[in-house]
Amino acid sequence: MNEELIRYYLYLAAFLFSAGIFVVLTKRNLIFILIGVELLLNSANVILATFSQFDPHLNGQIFAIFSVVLTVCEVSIALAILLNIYRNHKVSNLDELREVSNE
Amino acid sequence: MLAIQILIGLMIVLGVGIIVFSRNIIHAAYALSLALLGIAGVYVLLNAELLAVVQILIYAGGVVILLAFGVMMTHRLRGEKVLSGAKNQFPAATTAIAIFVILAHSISETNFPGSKALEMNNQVEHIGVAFLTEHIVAFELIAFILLVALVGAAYLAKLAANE
Repeated sequence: MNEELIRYYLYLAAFLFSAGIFVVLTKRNLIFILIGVELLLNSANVILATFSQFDPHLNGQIFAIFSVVLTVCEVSIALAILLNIYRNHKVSNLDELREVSNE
Repeated sequence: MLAIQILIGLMIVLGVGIIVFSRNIIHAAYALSLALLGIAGVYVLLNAELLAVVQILIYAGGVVILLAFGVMMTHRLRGEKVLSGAKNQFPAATTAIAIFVILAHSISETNFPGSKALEMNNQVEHIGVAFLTEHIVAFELIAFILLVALVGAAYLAKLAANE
C-alpha cells in the first residue's frame, strides 16, 4: 500500500466528514440529522481501518467495531425518543419543537 | 485494482451527493445504504474483511431499516412525499467546504513514512482472540451497553405506543 493510496482513503474520509457536517447543519428533520451523524462516524471508521493496516495488533479495526456497536445503540435510542416526541407533540422537525414537557 | 477503487469512490460520492441534495427522507435513507455499501467495499480493499461484514450486516442491514421504520412511524403516509426542509444552507456549505479544505491540505502536506502494509492472512482469528483476551473488559462492557440500550429503546417505544 503506497502513500497515494493512503491519501485517497483519507480524502474519502474527509469528504464524508464534511458532507456529514453539512447534512447535520442544514436538514431540519431528526431522521436526516441521524443520517448525517452516521456519515460522520463512518469517516472516523474509514481512517481507523486505513491505519490499522500498519498495526500488527489491529487495534484500529477493533476500535472501529466498538464504534459500530455504539452507533447502533445511539440510533435505536434516538429513534425511540423521536417516536415519543412525535406521539406527544406531533412534530418531527426539530425547529418546530418548542417544549419537551408533556403539559 | 485502481478501477475498482475509483468505482467504489464514485459509489460513495453518489450516495452522499443524493443525501446532501435530496429533500426526500426515504431517498436519503436508501442513498445512505449505497454509501455504506461503498464503505464496506473500502474495508474489503483495506483487507479488513471482518469490518466489511460487520458494516454490511449492522449498517446497511440494520441501521438503514431502523431509519426507514422511523420515517414510517412518524409520518402519515397517504401518498404524499416525506420531505424535509433545509435551512442555513450558505453558512453550512461554507463551514463544510472550509473543513474539507483544511483536512485536505493537512493530508496532502503530511508524509506517511514507513507505510508498508502488513501481510496478515488470519486477521479475523487475530481480532477474535484479541476480543477475548486483551480487550475482554471493553468487549463485555459494550455487550452490556448494547443490551441496556436496546431494552431501553424498546421500553421508550412501548411508552409511546401506549399513549
